Amino acid sequence: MSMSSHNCDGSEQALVRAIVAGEVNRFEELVVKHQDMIYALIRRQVSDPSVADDLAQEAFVRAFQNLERFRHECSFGTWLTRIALNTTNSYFASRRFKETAKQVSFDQRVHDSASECDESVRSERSLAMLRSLIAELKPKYRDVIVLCSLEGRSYEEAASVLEVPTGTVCSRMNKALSLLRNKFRVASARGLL
Amino acid sequence: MTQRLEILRRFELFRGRLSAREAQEIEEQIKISPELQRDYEVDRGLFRELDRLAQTEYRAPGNFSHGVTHAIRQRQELYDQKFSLGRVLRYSAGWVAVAASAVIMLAQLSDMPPGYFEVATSSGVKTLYNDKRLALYPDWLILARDPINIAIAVFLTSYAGIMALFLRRRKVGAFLLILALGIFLSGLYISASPEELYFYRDQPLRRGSRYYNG
Repeated sequence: MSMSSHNCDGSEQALVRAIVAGEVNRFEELVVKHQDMIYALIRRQVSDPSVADDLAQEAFVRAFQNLERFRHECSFGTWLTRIALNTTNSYFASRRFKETAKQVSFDQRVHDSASECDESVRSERSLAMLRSLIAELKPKYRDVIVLCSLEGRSYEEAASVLEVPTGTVCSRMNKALSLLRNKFRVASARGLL
Repeated sequence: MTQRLEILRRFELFRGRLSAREAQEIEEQIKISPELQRDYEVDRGLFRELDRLAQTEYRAPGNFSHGVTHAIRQRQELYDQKFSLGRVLRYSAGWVAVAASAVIMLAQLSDMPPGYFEVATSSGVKTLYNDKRLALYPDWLILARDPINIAIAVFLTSYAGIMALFLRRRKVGAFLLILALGIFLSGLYISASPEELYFYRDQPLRRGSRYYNG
């Protein structure tokens, strides 16, 4: 999904303008078009599918509520991605997430002691641990890891989403990988991965 | 090749952006150093997991768009209930604080001794309270204790607080309103009396001071 294709998407801009003008029922067309992209972006950060569902829904609701503020300076997809990242970051900063993280950590220890897990369970747990390591990063580092490493976007695209220069994305990426590597090393040494 | 650059190149390798020859060169360099070998193992594990997560395909649930439109409708109904208790309390509390501080400021203004604002021109004001101990206070302290300045600080802080609430910065808004309350309460104890202010206005040697009356 390239940025240029987004920018040239005049029909989408017209759709957004129509919704702002009052055809609110047509918002569902935008949802259908972007739902998989937004859901995957969030699901790669959040292990619980129901939480990912809630957060993706919240991102779309926020987009709808703020649609009048969308200035068409970037594509709707880019703007929506930014909202989805902010929504996820708010979730990671919330008490709800911290309590869930504590509970998951406890459950995992209990489960580990049973040592009766097959390969697929171990694989899923390994991904969940990676998600939790990414969640521990500061939002500015987490965002570049999510966009560049998990979503496969170029640094230029990430810069457009985050509204920062490309050089800033590069330096954040470097720092984010360094932090993530240290966390990964510790987790590996503890046998959590 | 610096270690950082090399790690970045390894990252490129795992994302399939390096040629086989470049990858081979890196592999050979890594074999030479045990330290690099150890880092390499960690990196390989990390990038493998990152790639695995990136390649996992996720799709929104089937009824997702209906869920979104339903949520929007529900949210809209809630938003339309303009007189929800929480909103009224939140915003009215802030405006009450702003209004109260404005009243305090006006009251302080009306309570000032005559000639208070004629700092530069008046010449007939007498020292009503000639206690030399007050001369020990520095200008900035008497300035901070001036009731007018305290009232202005309370007004501006509470105004900023209510604006922050309007911009949905709840924590900042609450902090500023509590700060305004704190300034107001402490102002009750530390504010200078009119006699003290008179005294400072009559200090001929304090040139440049707001209270200089020479």
